[in-house]
Amino acid sequence: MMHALSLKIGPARFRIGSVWQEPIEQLRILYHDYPVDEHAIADFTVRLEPAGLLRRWWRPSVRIAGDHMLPDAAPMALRHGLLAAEMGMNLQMALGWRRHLLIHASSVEKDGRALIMTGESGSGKSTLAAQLGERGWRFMGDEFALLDVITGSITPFPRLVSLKNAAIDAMRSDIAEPARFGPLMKATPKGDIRHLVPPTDAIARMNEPARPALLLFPRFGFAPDIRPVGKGEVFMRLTQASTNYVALGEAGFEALHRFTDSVPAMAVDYRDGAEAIDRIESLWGDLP
Amino acid sequence: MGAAPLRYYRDRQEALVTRHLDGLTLVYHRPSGMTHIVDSPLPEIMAALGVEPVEAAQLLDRLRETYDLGEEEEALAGIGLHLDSLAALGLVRIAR
Amino acid sequence: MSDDKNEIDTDGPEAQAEQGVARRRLMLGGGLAAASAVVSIRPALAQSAASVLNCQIPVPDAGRASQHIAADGSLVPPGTEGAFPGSGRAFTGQEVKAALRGGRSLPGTSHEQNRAYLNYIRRLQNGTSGFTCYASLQMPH
Repeated sequence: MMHALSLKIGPARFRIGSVWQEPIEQLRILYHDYPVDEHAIADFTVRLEPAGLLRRWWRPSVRIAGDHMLPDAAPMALRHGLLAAEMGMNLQMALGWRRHLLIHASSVEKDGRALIMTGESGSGKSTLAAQLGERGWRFMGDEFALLDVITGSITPFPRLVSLKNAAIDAMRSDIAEPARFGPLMKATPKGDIRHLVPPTDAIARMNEPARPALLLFPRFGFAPDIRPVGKGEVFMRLTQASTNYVALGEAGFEALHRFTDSVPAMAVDYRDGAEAIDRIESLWGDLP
Repeated sequence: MGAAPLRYYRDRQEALVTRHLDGLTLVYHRPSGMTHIVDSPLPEIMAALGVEPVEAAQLLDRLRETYDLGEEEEALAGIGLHLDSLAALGLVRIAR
Repeated sequence: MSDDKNEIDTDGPEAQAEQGVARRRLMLGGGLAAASAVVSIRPALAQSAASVLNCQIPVPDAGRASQHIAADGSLVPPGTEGAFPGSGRAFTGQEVKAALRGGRSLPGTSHEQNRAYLNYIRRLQNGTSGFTCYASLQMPH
């Protein structure tokens, strides 16, 4: 691999290699504030490879490879190489990380306590976390919440926030500095995407865990409503939202039981981001 | 010649890890690595089983000491089905 | 409740009734109740990880690209009556999902060809290219 970059995001170290220079340069610029230790051993390798003999030059097409790979992955256009690298890192975590229970969720912290938001793609969890990150909360991650199976704390994994479609404009109006935004990638397999660099304090404090205090199941695009979610349902849904629950065995079972038993959970349906933020602040304020 | 009724017993204590959650019972089955969310009457049935194999009717007698089981025939039919589903998951053993 | 016992058991039903302690009712009725009392956690790996990455399904897989697809989805020699040649390009998980739901045919296919291709996909086995992608489409999410 001619071009490479070492990254540390939360507890994980990645080595990203690429036959093309452009995606690596884009990553280098966006991650410039993140700590770098070129000599440390990487937990995972991600490689951006040509998807076929000629595809390095002719209609360049990227295949995402690495320590962990999924069969049947569709190749991506080179102009989406940055997204391919981010997806590659997600894939390594999803398939290979064993030091925490991984939940598809975003998380933010205030006063040492963490708010976790879990849901399907499109639920709004990434955008809500990014917006809270600009409103006095510390951003901890938008894709994976890392639950420490020994301590029960949430460990930050603050990668670049992946903004989709309408969320891009919403955050552009929230944030003045253009340097915090990556290139606009149109018509990717996940729609229009633009990456957002997390706030400086989120990066500086990426090794500080927080005790989970509230779990939300947001749903964007539904009539406003808030309702508690029963613990049995929460447990069930979190096993499905976790990429490594089964692999962690008994430790995962104990950790998830403790988490579910001790963290209150609410479903929040909303149509408007600002209104959702108000609801969230209110729920947080009501916590004992 | 009729088949003898099945006899059921529980595995060693260490085979299962049980935890409670809001009226439900979570069971981690170590031999299989599987997790089950279990609702009444299954936890009560599992708790009433010992290491000595018993028939379903004997199990009913034990449960009757603590619970009101309702109509006899229905209870016997029901417990048979519950024991079958527990046995299929490996949470209860059948003596052979 | 019948009380056939001659001896009084301090913890038995008679004693409990005397003490005014009602035993909790334990519902043992079988049938539907038996099936719903336990939920076993199924691994979510295929779904969660596959959603992290866009996936694709070739029809047929590259190793058998020269074969044709019969109406029932099985692979047959080229030239077989009623069979279709394979697709020139792989379909994305999204496209297959939409076609399986009945909304849109797979891109570039006639109605009959779409049905043949979908039947091929439904028959995919573990180890064949496209299986993981297809399996992830089956998950609730």
